[in-house]
Amino acid sequence: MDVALADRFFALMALAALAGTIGIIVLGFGSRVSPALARWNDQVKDIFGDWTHWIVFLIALVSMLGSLYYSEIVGYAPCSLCWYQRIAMYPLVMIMGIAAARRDTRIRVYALPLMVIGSILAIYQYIISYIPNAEILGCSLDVSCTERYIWEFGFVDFPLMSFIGFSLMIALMLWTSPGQPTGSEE
Amino acid sequence: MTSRKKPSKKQSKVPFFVGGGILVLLVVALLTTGLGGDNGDNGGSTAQEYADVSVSGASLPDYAQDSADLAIGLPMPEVTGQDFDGTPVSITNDGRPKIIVLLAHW
Repeated sequence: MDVALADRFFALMALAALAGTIGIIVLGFGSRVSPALARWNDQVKDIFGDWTHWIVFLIALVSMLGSLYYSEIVGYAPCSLCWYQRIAMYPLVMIMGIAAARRDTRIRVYALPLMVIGSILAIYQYIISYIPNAEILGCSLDVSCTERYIWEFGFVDFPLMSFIGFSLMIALMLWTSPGQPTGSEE
Repeated sequence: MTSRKKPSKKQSKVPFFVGGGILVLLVVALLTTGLGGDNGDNGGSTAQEYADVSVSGASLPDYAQDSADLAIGLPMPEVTGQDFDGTPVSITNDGRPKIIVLLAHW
């Protein structure tokens, strides 16, 4: 696959995920204040509610495959902060895949901390690429944490993609719990 | 036993939704990168990030912390190479003073 194409594709996925995150935040919080938004929220939840764990699994899977594509096939060396984000992201593929297959709603207690930690690392890395003085955690000089291997649409780089991915996962996990109303385990 | 309708029963469209969405994004990516969209980075231009450099002359002695810099006053090796669009560039002793600035992004 052509790298420029992959860059654009993953950046577009990130934008879609960003739109999804914003949509969920608007619906989720808006439904508390606006009856119209609450109706929309219920409708959207009706369609996607049962699938949120699978969607979270898909986000983690795409993130993992994307990061492996760039490090193993394209050959970009992952920096230390990138590694920490990978540590948060990769287990989610397994965890959320199994949870989705078993419809295990209690998984959010285990998955959310990983997602929150990953998103904090990601936004930190995104900020230090703008404000190098904000860099307080050590990043080795061998592999810079602030080098932009990819730069799409004037603001999308790897840390931002990572942050958007984690954000959408958090939003989805908090928005619904699939199968919650039954509470039974079959 | 479950009161909730399962996606399989309802023939949910969500997988097609998601799959179709990803496919659309892939097509958009193809259209905007493959078919002569903006080719700012490397689409067909001759610009290169780096090229071969040849160095002639003896290298300067290594700098040691505890003594004076032995390289001061010695002629430096001459360097010839090319810039981003292939124009030859050389740093040689042509009698004019030069400042060499090394920059890194981070």
